[in-house]
Amino acid sequence: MVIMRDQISEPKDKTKDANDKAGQPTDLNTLSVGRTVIPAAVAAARIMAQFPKVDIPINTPTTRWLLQGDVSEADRLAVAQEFRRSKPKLLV
Amino acid sequence: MYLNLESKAVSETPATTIVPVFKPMPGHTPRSAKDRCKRIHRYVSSLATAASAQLKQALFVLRNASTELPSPELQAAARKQYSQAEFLSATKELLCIWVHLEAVDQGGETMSGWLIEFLQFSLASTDFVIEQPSAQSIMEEHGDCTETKVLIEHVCQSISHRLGYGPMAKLLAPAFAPLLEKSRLLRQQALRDALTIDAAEL
Repeated sequence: MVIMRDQISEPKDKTKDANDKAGQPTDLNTLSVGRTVIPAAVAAARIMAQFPKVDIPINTPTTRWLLQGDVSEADRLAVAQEFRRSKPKLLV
Repeated sequence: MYLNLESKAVSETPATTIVPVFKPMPGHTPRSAKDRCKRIHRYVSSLATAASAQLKQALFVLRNASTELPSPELQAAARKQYSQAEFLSATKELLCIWVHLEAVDQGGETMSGWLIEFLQFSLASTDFVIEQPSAQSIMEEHGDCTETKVLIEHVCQSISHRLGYGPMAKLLAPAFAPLLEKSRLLRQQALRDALTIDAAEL
């Protein structure tokens, strides 16, 4: 199961209310994924599972390799427009 | 190496060991061309900002440690002022090589087609952030490097030249190696953020 970062949030009020109604204390160490409330430690373990351990090769493709892709003019213009709209301010 | 420019922002193990790597999955594929453009914009922008911040930090450390350098010429070089052109040129090179290193970490030619395109497009898009030197020229410059260790040595010397150290460039070059060797965590956080953030937040 892939847990996207945006799917993980603080317990919603509904959950808190439900816990309150059931007489259960609200556990601040829990996170909600969809409708399921799970312990934060379990959520953290699931997130870390997205970072599998892999063996990084010593020999690599050369730096020319990423230049080989064909970027269409339409795509190029579209992304150029994004950067015209908002350009990062670099520290100088 | 005369200096150890350890950065507080990035710290991890050398490139040849087994390390945790963020591996994008099919669920991370951008949903449309527009969505991809926005995610590329986010990825390249955050990487560029991080590259300039890391380089600036390294130059502060180098300047502060200048008195420890073994010759007056090296000390003077480490204390020099940097023009905007010098700094942006070095930042651009760092940015482009970070995208390349990310592609290597993601398995090079074995990675998914959509991710290859994403990184190729990202590399090309670095020209929208810093126009010169072009990404093409930077990558061509190091095109003969087939091992990461050699690539890092070449890039460090190139960055050192771009920063205007003149005859001292070769001697100061190793000081910039940590910016490449210890960049994985920072790079992968940027990629993960760009591919997993909710479309509404882009």
